[in-house]
Amino acid sequence: MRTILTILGVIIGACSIILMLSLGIAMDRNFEEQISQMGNLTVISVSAGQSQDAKAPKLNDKALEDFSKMQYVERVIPSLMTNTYITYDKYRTNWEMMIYALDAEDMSALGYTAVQGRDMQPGEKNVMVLGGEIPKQFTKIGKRPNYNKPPEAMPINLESDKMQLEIAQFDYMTGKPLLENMEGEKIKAPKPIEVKPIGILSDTNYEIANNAYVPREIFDKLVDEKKKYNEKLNGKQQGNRDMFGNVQQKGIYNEVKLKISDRDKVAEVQEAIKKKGYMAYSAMDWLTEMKKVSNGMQLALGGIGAVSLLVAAIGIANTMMMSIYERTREIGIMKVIGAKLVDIKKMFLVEAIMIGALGGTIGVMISSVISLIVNTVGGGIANIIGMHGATKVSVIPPWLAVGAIVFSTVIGLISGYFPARRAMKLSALSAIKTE
Amino acid sequence: MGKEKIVALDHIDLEIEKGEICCLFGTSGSGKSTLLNMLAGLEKPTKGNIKIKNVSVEKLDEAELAVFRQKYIGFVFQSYNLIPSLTALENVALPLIFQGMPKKEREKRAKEMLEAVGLGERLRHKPKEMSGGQQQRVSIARAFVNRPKILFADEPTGNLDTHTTIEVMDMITRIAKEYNQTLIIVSHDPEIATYAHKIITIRDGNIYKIEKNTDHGKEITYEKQE
Repeated sequence: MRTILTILGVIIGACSIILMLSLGIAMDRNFEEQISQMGNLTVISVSAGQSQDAKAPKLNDKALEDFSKMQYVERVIPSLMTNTYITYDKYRTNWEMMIYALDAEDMSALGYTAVQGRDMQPGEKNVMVLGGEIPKQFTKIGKRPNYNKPPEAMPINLESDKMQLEIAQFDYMTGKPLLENMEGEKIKAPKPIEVKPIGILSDTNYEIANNAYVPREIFDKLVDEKKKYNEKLNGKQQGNRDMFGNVQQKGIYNEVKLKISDRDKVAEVQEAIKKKGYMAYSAMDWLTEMKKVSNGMQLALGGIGAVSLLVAAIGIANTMMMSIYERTREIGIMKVIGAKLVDIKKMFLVEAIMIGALGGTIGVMISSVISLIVNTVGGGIANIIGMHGATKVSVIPPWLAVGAIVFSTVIGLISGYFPARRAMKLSALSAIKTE
Repeated sequence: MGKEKIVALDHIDLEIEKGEICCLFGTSGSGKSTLLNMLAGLEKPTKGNIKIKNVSVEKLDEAELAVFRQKYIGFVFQSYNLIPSLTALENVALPLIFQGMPKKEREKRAKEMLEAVGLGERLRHKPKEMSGGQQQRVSIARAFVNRPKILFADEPTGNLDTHTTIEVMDMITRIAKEYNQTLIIVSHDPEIATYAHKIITIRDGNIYKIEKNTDHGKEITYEKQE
């Protein structure tokens, strides 16, 4: 009976330490999940920065080559971007969308995978992958968007329908193309480029949700045509501009994305790039910050759990001690009939270890059940402890389960050691005389 | 309190032959139990020498004593000293466990021994489910299961009625003779003394007299000169 109570103590101790740590681990996982939804963790975005310093390094082809030679850099993906209206049937986007040139390999390296439809295939032309927010940007041509209503995603028939990448600019009020230059001369309406939408990306990654992606070939054609149109419309001086209104120079990139082979090296590479004078940013920055917070939390939670396991350890020691007092006579008898000292020590040690191991094992089982329950009903709890939108409140990885069993076994061993030694040292004769 | 020097045994010179059945006889407080404990290596003399099979017992350390007891010595106590949580069979097999004998063999040996003491039907009973005489027989079986060279019995019949006493004593002496074992019995009961070859009477920590049981009655071989 006393042994059962002691085991119960160990079970509670093991449970509390496991559950506390599992909360911390779940918190970690949630951070990671949230951040990886926002962007790929192994991608570093590099930009030349807005620095007016003439000596600041430029993001040119040479820089790109340098990057590709760096250790752990798997792929260098320059960002090529232009803005264009997209027309779909009788609908057109409310404003110019950002169109990026990426080929199939780049997309997969960056982790841009379609949640609807399919990904781009290598060598494919005339296709487009849409960011998750783009279907919400369409309004019937000639009408203006109703901002009082949240935008609804337009159903898009992937593969079968076509979309037009417009070269022309449109009048905001009427939706008619601007076809009159500054001298009042009519210019010929440019022919839009037709592409096939094949896939839609996740709308949780804000970095890509408002972008559309086309193969390089289409992109180059689009930029070319737009340049011609803009020159006709506005004269030569303005050229092509990027999203910040900066003039795009040939051979100079605004942004380059680097795919890193090992996620543990992201910070290292990022540092190295910053040292070269570029601006570098990665989702890992956030994660590192958040991990610091959660590590502190885990330490505190684990500490609370550890206290209860410590109490359990004292319980084991106490039980063993009592058991030795109770069985002093038995120990004496065993000694007299030839038990070696190690036999006696072993007997009590094994019992203590068994209490620890059994308590730990049952503790793991019970915590798994509790963890399961908490996870199924856990939405509310998650919000209370500050894990908003968490999918799991408690995560018990295998190492934690095994670790807890080993730990409580070791606790049993330690707290059983001194009582066992005491039993060993009992004098056989006085032990027998005890009634 | 407790600081007073008590002399339990004083200048004892005693030899016991192999195969002898020997009775340490005396009133309580005479020192006979202390002598037995010393002979068995449970207590150490402050001075002097105890030799069993040419081994100085008092010089062995705890670990060596454990092995020594395992090999040569069996014990029967007045209060049986069985382990209450174990069955008769397990109690008898216990010394063999400490010797590291495989389970099958030790159970076989223990069973044989229990049958020899007439408890073949009670292998699975716990001590509490048996009478005093039966418990003592279990403890005798346990003492003999090792085939010890020397059996020490400390008031083996002290808790038993007359009828059972005779039964138990018959059994102990029979088995001891069968295996040519040395038997040393401590008792204050003159009845027990009749089973012995040699009766050593202890008084006030000294050997008072040594008698031999012969066919013609008791023969005094030594008597302390007052």
